[in-house]
Amino acid sequence: MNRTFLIFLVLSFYIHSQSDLIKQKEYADSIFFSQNYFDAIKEYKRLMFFDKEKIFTYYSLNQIARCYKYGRKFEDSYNFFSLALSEANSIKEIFDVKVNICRLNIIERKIINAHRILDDLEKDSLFKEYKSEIKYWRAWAYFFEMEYIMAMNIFNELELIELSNLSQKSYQNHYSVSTAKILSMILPGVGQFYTGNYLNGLGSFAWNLLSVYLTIKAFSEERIFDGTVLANFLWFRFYRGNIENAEKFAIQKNEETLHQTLQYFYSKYPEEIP
Amino acid sequence: MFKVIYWLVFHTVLLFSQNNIYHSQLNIKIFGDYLFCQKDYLRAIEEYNRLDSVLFSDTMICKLGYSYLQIGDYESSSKYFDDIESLSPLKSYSVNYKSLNYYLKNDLILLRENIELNQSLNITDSKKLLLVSEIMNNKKLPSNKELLIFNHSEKIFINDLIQKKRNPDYKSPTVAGILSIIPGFGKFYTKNYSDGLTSLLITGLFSFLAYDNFKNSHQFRGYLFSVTALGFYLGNIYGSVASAYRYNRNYDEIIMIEVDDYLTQKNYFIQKVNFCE
Repeated sequence: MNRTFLIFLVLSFYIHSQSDLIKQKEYADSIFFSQNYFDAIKEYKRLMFFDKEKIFTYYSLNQIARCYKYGRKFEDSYNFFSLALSEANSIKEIFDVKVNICRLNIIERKIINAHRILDDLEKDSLFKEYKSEIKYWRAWAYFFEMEYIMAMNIFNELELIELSNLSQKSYQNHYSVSTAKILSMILPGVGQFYTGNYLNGLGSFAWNLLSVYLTIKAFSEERIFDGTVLANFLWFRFYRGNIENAEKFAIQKNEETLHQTLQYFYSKYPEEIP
Repeated sequence: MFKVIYWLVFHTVLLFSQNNIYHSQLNIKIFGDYLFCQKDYLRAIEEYNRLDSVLFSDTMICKLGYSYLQIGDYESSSKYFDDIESLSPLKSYSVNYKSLNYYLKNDLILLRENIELNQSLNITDSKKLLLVSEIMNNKKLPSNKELLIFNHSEKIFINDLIQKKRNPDYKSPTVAGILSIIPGFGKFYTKNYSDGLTSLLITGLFSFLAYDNFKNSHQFRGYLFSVTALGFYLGNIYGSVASAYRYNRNYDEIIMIEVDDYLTQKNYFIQKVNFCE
């Protein structure tokens, strides 16, 4: 009878302590899902602190890193993902953390780092079964790099039609920065026309035309010094400005396109983009 | 008998499982201490503020004051340090940290008042802060006797600071303005060499253009370049005066950064109490 009682007592307390941790985890999760990330971090820290068996350490660290990520504190997020990596107990957990670090790199446009992480994962035989997931994030790295054709090909390969179409659409709306610059070099203002900034293009063309006229006039009247000054201070200034403008507009338009696409996708599938 | 014990244990477990024990008063305090030691001061404050006032000890009040100080809420920090009883062993600590609050707020009057009110305590740290604050605010330079409270290495730094305050390497805006009669020279005086050279070249270039055009009877262009040259010339004078002001401001800022770095490294002369052992 005494032994039964003892077993009952021990079991009761064991179950009780386990259920407290689960309750705390659920509480932290509820705050996390209500997007109150500051408090969620506190509750996950509490969960970790009282979890002497370290059952939820990996989970908590991972969640804290995600909170920081959603709060756009990327440096802290990296740190906590790294800590989570050291606490990961299975291949799946290691893979998840590495992918999350890769996603952070993609968001921060550290695409070379992202590709490097994906290369390492691809080479590692431990992650053989995650090949398609690695490819998926590779496609997103290309997408953020604005290498839409590469992204489209991989999405196609993975049979993700919507994403593939999205990449194609983004490619069609994409302006080549080099083309804009070269066009503006050949004929001032055309680069701006190419990016749809017609008024600016016209202005740029007119200023260049006027300054070229004044420069040529000065030289033709053998006012060499005036001509040199006009060429340097007027014409070259407008010519260089026109090229820089074309480049700026192309980059701006591309960023807008990427931003719009991501916003659309984020509202639909928040967990499936970096 | 056993039935009763079973019943009691079962219901105790059931009762406890209704509440999250990690949010009990004791656990909040333990967790708050953990956050404090992890330097997560903002969350530590939140936890401490959830506690009943009966659980507040002087140590915890000091921790709260310190946490508020760390997040830059000097008002709240001072309020907590005020709550420490005069007989508490942490009283001098709290007075010194209160002084630090006033120092960081740059409130010299309250800093001095705080020291005067607590003369009976060992608050040398606060007195050191007051002296540094007075030097920085150009209120007065301390006498040799006052400097005795500093140790040898501190004295070297303070003497250097006093020297810099006594003979500051300022540039006179008036001299800069007068020197800029020759374009660029005012800026050379304020060690702004690249701007000085630009001023000299541009003003010279447009002056030459004006002269050259007048010489060749191009009246309109002559006037145009004259006006441009005059604009650059006046701009050069104004820029030289502004450059002198900027130079002086930079000089003060550099000293301030040096002092801040030194004080941070020295924990503002305040002896640390390790609450996390």
